[in-house]
Amino acid sequence: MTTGRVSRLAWMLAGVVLFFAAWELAAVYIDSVNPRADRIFPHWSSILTDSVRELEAFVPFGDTATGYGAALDVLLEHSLVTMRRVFLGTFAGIAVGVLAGLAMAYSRVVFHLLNPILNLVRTAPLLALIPLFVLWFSGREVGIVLFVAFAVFVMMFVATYHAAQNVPRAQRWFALTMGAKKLEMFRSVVVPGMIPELFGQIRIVFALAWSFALGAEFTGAQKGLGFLMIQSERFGFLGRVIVVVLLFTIYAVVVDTILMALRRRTLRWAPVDG
Amino acid sequence: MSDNGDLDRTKIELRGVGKRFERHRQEPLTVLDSVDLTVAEKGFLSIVGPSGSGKSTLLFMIAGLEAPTSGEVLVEGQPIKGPSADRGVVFQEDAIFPWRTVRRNVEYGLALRGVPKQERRERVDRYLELVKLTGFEGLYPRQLSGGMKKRVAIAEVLVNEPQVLLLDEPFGALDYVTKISLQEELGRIWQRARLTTVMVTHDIEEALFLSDRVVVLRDGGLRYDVTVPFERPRPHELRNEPRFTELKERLWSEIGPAARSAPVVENQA
Repeated sequence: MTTGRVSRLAWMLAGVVLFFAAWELAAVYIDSVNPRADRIFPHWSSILTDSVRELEAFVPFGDTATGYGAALDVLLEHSLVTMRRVFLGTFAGIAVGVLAGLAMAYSRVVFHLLNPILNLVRTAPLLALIPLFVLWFSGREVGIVLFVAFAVFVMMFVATYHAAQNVPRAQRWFALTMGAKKLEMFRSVVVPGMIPELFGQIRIVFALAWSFALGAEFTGAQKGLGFLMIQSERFGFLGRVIVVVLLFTIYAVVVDTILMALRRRTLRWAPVDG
Repeated sequence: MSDNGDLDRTKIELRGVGKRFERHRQEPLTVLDSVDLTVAEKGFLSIVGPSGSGKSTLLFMIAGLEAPTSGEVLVEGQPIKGPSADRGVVFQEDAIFPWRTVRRNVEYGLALRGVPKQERRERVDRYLELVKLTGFEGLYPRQLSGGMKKRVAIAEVLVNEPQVLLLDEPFGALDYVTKISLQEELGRIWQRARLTTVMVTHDIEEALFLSDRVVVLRDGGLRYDVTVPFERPRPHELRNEPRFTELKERLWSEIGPAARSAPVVENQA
């Protein structure tokens, strides 16, 4: 590990510590003004103990397990449900979005066909489409996965088209002067050339996919972290909501770290950004 | 020069070549208006002119990358149908692939045409040596300086042994020292390879130092045509000799601000 990475890590930790400390200070202050305010601005001490344990309330009907063990089981079970939705939806959305974006960049006919639809969809507020997906699939699993996939698809579609357009003309033309036909030029120049830009968008999409799944789970799910969250919120258990938010944050950071490691391994040739 | 016979043969011919761009709710923009030009086999022709004069468009039409809106471009008497590996282009912005190493960049065209691996290796080695990049085969473009990238861009075109070399402001983006040394190196390489070359540049000195003939493109057409008489190899000191600077002044008067008001059509060739 280089000193640069050590100091970057140190700064990151310092930032996290600062955030938690500021929160705790605010909680202490609010407590001193109104002792009953712990419900709306809880201390970390109660979030990380009581609020976590209280999630035992979500053990399936008939299960008699209680305490931290039961609570962690609940978190694990609902996490796996959400992760499945996020990953299935994201992978499907990326695959279809990239293919559609490439087709649009490759063919003028496809461009003229898809461009009006694209302009319509990209401006539509994606989250507003959740009720449609929920109703169409009557709250079933496939509806949530398809919504995540659709939202990811829209983002990747636009990004792929632009990434392909941004491959420098000189590189594309050079391939043609070397005798490459259009498809060969596309395969050997446009596709590899757009990968760094596409990768940036994949990071963004993965981060947002958690929000897409969460949003769909708010309205249309009987399971998943979004379900835990909306139920806890409904009964005013803010601590439990914060536990789920923390969990989401950790998952998103882990996925992003994996993606960055992947980028470092596979895109060593690309100029480093973000 | 021993190859005066060659210089008489026409390699490239432009017949009444024009380029107009249709514009939305405006008059079409005429960039080139019926240009006639011949390039001699194994000659080095430079096209100079102010920016926006259409010199790069003219070059890309010879490359087959852009189509003229009128007239035709012939190579060896045949109208061209599109880009071809026989006409290699060195672009202003380096057309080198950042995801490929120096070696894999240079062998791109050869691999595309299915040249066997062993032959590919030998030819790439030979041309990397020609542009003095031996030892850098395994590096990626981001590890190279601007001058080295330009050498890669030249090697990846020459390795195909094209019949025509087209240069679009090849050294425009380089610092002065790198530019001068690459010009001198291109002169040396060209003297060995002796292939029909058309270079577009706004640098009059560069054009004079490298070419056999310089034409001025201005206001949509060729406005001046001059044979460059200096023998090769051309030493660096040539740039300061009176016969060089006089010609430079003459060309400047054709391109510079003074030329804008009074178009002069003249042919010294």
